[in-house]
Amino acid sequence: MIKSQPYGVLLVAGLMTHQENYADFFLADPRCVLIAVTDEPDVPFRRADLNRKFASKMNLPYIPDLDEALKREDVDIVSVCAEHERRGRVVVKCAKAKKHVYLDKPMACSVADADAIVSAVESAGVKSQVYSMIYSSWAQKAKQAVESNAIGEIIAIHCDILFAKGYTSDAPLGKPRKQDPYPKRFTFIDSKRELRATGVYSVGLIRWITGAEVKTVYGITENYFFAEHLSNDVEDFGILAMRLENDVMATISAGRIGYTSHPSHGPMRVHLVGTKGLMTFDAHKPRIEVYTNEPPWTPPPLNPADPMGFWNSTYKNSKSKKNWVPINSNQRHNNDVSYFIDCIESDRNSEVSVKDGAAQVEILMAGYISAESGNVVSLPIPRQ
Amino acid sequence: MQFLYQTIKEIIETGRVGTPVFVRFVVQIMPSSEHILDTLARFLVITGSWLTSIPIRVYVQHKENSAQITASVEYTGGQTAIVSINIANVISSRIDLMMIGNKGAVYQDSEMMPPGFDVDFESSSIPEWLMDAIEQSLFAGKPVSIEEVVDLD
Repeated sequence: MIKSQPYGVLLVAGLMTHQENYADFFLADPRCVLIAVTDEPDVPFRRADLNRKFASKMNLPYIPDLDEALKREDVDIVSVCAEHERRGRVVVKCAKAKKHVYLDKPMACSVADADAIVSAVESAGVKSQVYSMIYSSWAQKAKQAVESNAIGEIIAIHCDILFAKGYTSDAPLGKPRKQDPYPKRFTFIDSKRELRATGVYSVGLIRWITGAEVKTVYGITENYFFAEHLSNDVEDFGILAMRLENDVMATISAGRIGYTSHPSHGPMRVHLVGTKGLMTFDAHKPRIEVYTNEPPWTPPPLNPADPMGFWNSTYKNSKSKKNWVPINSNQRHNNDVSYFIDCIESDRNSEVSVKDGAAQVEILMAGYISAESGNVVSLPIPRQ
Repeated sequence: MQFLYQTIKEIIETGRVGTPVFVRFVVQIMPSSEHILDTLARFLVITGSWLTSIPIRVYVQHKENSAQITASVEYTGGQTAIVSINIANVISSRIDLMMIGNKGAVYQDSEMMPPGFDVDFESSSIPEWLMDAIEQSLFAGKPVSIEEVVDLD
């Protein structure tokens, strides 16, 4: 149903979350208007302060009580970037208030939370979408190769999405990581569980490109690059080997590999193996390569408030690497939000709804269980 | 393959990329008389040589009646590798390689190899325990610990 007035968008959480990006995407869509920034009333002082600063930067009011904000009738959509540990309950609350929900990835940090989100969204009959890379031009081309039968019947799919950010240090190497099968804490200033944080993109792409569910997961997590990750006992690198429906094999590598380990943002590609051969789709191809007498790129000065370079706001003046210039302008972010608005207007489900987000969460959590045991884990995993 | 193997080895030896920690091979080769398991093992020998380590666990996936095989391997020092071999009726072999060290990385993006490219390389003898591990993982459909495979006698 097409509304006669713009969709009101409420933002949960502000600075030093991906809301810094998502708010801009909503702002760029003329069908949307930002209403306010909000959060739970009992968030720590630091979070409340970051939220207030973000509201001020965006010229929006800050409503310090989520329940009050959700009562507003001019709110149609909630963009949720609450910290992972409270994301489940926040999203459930938003769905119960009959608001459409746009969610940061991964959408939850346990299968229980993911199940609760799916149940709440389906009961409320609202639309949902989890941020993904499916609107990247290279991902679209991979999907087209499958749908046009250019690759033939899919035999295997291999995806690498690694972020070239952070200052690598001398993390001690020499022994395999011991993984907690049921990690509880996910939010740190200086590290993320990278199998989840970056692996979620690959897992999402594999499900979307193949249209197949994952049946088994084998995972390995490691600490290769960062002392920060090691000290928090979270992995900075991980791999998954999966078996999909129809016996399709799938593998991913995921992680944060340091600013200087790639000429651009990091390896981002998918290899499709089909009965007609091998095709590779790369986020950095096609590209133009530019070399000049400008001083070479150097990483931005370290900001202790965000040592890994997670957020735009903490590295405002940093320059990007400019040697690789993509030929296809990449509009994936705006497209992702615009596509969600299209779904709401045409009353159809997103291709990355909370149901898909829940499947992503379950695959990643199975990866941790496997990494602890060294065994293959079958899905669905037991609910605790 | 010898030149590629040697070039990467020399880059590693300069220390520019730090300690190698992960290797990703996606390979498409023309049919030959060599069995796909032997080809996989050969690439794992190369990978182990770059990582200067031996596997502790090997997980091999293969779809029946397909010419594609993938191994996910963890090494004694915590290094990892994913090696995928695809045999296809193509006019030229193709190798996509990513080798990540803890201080840098080496990439070879989906390069077409010249006609007559040979996947063989010097010192590429395949240890019996590695072949046993590959076959056992394939047969069992699960990861195999090298300790279970190696005959300690």
